[in-house]
Amino acid sequence: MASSYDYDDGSLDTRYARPPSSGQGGGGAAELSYDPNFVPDSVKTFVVHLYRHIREKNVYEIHQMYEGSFQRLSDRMFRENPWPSVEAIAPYVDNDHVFCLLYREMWFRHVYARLAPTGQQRVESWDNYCSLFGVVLHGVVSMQLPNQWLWDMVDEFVYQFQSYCQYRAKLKNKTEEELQFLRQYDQAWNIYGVLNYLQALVEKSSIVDILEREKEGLEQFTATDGYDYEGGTSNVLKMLGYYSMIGLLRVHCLLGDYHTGLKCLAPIDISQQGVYMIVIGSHISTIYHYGFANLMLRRLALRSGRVDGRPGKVFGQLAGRSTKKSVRATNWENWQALLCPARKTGWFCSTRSGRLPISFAVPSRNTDMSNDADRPNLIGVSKLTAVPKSMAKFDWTCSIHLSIYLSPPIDMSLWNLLGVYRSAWRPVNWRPLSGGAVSGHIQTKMSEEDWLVECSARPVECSVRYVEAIREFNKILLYILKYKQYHQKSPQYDQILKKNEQMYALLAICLSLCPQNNIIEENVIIQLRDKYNEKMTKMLRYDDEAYTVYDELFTYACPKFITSSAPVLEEPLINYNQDAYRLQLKLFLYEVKQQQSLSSLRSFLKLYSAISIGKLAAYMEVDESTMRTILMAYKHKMHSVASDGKIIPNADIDFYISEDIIHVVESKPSKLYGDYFLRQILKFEEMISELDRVKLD
Amino acid sequence: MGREPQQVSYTVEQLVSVNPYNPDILTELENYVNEQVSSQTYSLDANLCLLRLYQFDPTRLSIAIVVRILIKALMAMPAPDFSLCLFLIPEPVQADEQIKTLIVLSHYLETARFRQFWDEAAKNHSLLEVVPGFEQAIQAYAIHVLSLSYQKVPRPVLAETINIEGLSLDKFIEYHVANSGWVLEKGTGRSQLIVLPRNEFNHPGLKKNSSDGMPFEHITRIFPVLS
Repeated sequence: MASSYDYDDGSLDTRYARPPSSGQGGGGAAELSYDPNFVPDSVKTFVVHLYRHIREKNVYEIHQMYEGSFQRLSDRMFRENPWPSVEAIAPYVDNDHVFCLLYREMWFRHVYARLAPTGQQRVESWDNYCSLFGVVLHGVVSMQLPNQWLWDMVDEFVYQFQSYCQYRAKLKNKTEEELQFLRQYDQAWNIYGVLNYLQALVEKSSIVDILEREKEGLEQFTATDGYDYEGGTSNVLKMLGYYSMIGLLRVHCLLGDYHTGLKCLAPIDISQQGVYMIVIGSHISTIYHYGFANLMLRRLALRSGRVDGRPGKVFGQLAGRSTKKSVRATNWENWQALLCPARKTGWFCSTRSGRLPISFAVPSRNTDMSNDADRPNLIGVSKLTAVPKSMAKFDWTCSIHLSIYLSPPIDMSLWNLLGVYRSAWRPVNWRPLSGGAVSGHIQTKMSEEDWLVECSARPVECSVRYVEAIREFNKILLYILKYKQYHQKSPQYDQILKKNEQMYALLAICLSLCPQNNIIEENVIIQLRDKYNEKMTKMLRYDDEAYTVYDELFTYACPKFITSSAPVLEEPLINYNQDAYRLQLKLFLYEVKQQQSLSSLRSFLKLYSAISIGKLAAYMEVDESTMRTILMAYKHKMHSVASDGKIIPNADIDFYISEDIIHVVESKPSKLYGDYFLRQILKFEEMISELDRVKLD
Repeated sequence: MGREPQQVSYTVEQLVSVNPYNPDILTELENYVNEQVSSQTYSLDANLCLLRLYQFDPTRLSIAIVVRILIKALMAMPAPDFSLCLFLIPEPVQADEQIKTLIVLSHYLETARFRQFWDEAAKNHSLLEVVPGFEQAIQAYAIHVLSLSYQKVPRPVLAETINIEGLSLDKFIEYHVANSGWVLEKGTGRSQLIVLPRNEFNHPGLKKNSSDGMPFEHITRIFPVLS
């Protein structure tokens, strides 16, 4: 499964489907029949239309042309040659500077994908990116471009950088001319430039602020996919800033600085839906690098019990049951205005269209919500549904029905609570339900169809965010499994498949280092077993062969690490492109080695509920003092340190020692029935709503 | 230079978060490392930034500074800071004798081989004494590991782990009995037992059991359906 780690420009590039006839080695020059100034008619039409669509901000059309026509024309006419040069097409687009930069960006991307770029072309591409980003950073761009294109820009930027580092690290077979070229253009693709451009994009776009404000409900970013449908302002800088965060994560992983990489990604909350999911390439790249960084940081399976530490950041949900037919409220703005808050607390209501903030006051014991620990177990959040009396805009009735369970001991006065609700809305008729619940019914507009939704609230804890390598891999692999057939036509299909395989390899490594019981979904487990069952058994044995397997899988799955420093262009000329990779591999295997005895310890612990240290030492054939060492090492390795410094346990088998006896504690695995039922319920619901829509004559 | 330490560290932290990819801040970061050593503070981000800059420009790398950073990272255990730093240090540099010693020390700590660790540390006293507070930091880590594993730890085990014996050990235990909730007990035979405070790692009852739980977020997905 693992291929040899020889990153070779061009010939082993699996990013795009390689047309069978191209077989050019390094430094491929264009065919003799290529005339950079000849512009076929189809290309003429293409650029003219594209230019017009960009000017008219017709994002959908741009996307069609970018994904569809460009690929088709490349397949048909430019399999072995580059597209016509930018000077040739410039007259057809009024010599528009920005369009020319965009065209050149696509031009170079095509060369990288289908041909093999020369040193000259690499440097020119760098210049082009500098100009393009320069224009964007100056804030003079007013166009809207599809997210796919913007992601591809950042993705390609990092990829070309990585490719250049590999290229210039292979000095052995370079001609004197090429060496001279490297000496002359030593500033091209320098590490400072790359990082500073990405950083500048993040900062200039204020994307971190935008995401922060979005959490408070003050900004619409995710909901509109980053576009600005109404205002028409440019999404280019914003989206480039967003994708640059992922770009920074990638670059830092390539350097081996995983901690900073994760910090760069921190503003994006990957446990939630986000813009990064829209373009499948960005989704996969984010999760892959995120998972890999966590693997190297030894954060294999964390469970974080708190969200943000910010007070009021809890959301609850209600089960709803309607007595009459209901329709989802689509005009959220109306209802939001009606829920005038007594005090903003950051409660959320989850509806089908996402998480929407609701504000109302919920008093705690001392009306102080700032301390998480003091918050009582109650949530009052409703789901909003509305029944249209007619299609006139404000002729809707909204009912919010709240039931609040108060779990003892609560010493706050019930009236106090109800009083708050009563003042927030009117009228409220509270009636008691069984089990200590209270339900109230609020109507904002009187209507004949007086209509209730029975809701009940359950006490919930703070939202639990699972942030770890295994879980994220699990999610993305499931996602790819489900949706990969839709992307078969896309040029990134190969890339998606490759990353898919790599992530399975990483998941196999994670599970061998830190066996878990419940987290992986069934489909993913099946695939994993298919591919890696044998290897995983080998890895768990921790003998010499195991290290070979770890080596193999790591080599296959790791990103292509780079050496960021400038090459030393004097004799003796060596190839040092593999140095960085070898270092990371060595440190990784070193870490694996440290866990050698832990696996056999684990298998023994599974058998006993209590055992003395002496006995266990005898079974494991070590002396008692070594035994204690192994036990403590197990504890240390199985507890990782989260980013906020808290200690989080990873292991499914745990123990504690009392003087000389080890008491084993095993967390019981539970069957994933719940998950299965959830999935089926949702599927059936979809089917039923489909059927509902069928009109019977 | 007459600047207060508070002021300098504030500026350095700002630099690291705002403009980290800038070779000009290299000297400032080096000074900051020395300051961390002398004032017994620690900043992972600044040190990683410096190691990155060294990686970008190996001619400016200073072994002495790297050694200091690594010792500081060792003191930050159980956090994996030492490995994080190693990822950024090129192999030729890692072949340096001092760094090799530190790697061996880190290996002992990671695998909880405390006796071997203290032996090796004693042999390399001159290397480690440049950073004040080293011993105390490692002892704190040792106690952390003990608290994870033991409810009741025999005195000899404690002594070996933190490398204190005799009267000093008595004083040490006294201090923790007074401040950290340790309790002395009589064990089997004549040995002393130290009862460590209960936490969720050495007392499974205190651990929140997520056995039957499904993540609440999953259940929220079907709420629209249930209406």
